[in-house]
Amino acid sequence: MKARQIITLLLLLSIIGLLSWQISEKAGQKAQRAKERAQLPDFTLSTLGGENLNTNLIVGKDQSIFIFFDPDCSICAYEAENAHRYVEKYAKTTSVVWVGAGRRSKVEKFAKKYRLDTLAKHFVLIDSSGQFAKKFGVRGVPEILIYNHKGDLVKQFHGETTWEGMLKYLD
Amino acid sequence: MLQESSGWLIFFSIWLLYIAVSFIQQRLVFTEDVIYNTFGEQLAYDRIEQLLETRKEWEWVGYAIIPIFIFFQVFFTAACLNIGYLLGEHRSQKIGFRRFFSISIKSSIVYPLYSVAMLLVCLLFLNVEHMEDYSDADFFSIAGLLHLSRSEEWWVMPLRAINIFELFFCLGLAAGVSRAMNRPFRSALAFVALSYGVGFLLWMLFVTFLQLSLSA
Repeated sequence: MKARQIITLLLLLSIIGLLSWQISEKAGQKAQRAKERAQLPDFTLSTLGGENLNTNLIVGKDQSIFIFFDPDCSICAYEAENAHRYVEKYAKTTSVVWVGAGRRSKVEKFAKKYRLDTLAKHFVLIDSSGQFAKKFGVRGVPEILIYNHKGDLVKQFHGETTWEGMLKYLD
Repeated sequence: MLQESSGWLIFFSIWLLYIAVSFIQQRLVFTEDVIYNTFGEQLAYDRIEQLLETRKEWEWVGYAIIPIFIFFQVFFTAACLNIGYLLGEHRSQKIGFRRFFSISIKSSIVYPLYSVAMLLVCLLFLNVEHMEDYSDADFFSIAGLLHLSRSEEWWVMPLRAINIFELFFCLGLAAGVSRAMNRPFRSALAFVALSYGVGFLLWMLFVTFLQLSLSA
């Protein structure tokens, strides 16, 4: 074998090895995160008022819907508008936690515009550090996760979802 | 000259085959009912109507960009073969990139046959109600045979890429290489495995890595 062929072979083997190792690492991390969010994780986020709140305490024994949103996203606005239309169907048994990405002022403006504070058992939190997005495997906005009263993940929706669609997964 | 024109003829035939499959698929498999069933839970009725309108409006763009993908695939295969040839020891015959490109185009005719086969299975034996049901028509790849077509995307893509048509493609390449390099078929097959096979493996690993990195 010529030196050129040996170098090529070594180079190819290194690339294949490196990529395989990276794939196995990332797949492991992905599986771990999926396992972690199968049960509502215990985590703390900041409220619009600036206090830190633990989501398990907010949700308590209720079933819960987590809606991760971006204040500039039109589909998220559509979800917020429709939250009012269906509130009677879920408010008794369900807590809705809106988790906003981005600047506090924008999240505040969004919550105010869509009167989320006027809805019973609706909470608005801010994910400024991106910890929610990472923990919950967020792919885009909106990302919707539904947990039952035991804290088991019932359904995760990526992207636009109707409230009728969400209500199907609530008791 | 004759060889060149037959290469382009095959290129356009591949394009036409893809267009035909896609056209039939849109009308007979992914019907409006299937779209409503698939997105009904997530999207409101008017949003699905919008989606269908957009699909109709942009259908031609899908057909127009197919040659770009065919060209990329053919170019990639020819490049792998050419690199393998330049690094190899048997260079008694002088073969240029154009020859490998031509071999690659001719062998690529098997790729749209994969789509044709899936479409036929789907039309003859399956009742597609959701878009995901289409993956059940895949009896030709590792993913289909191991019933992994509905597992995680990053895992399905490489397993779908290993299919019977890929094998035919490699055999086609080997036949072309055997003739071009004047080597026995077995030796040409080994050359294809070491050149295109390695390139294919690297590409699969790279795309899987990219998918895992981009998805949460």
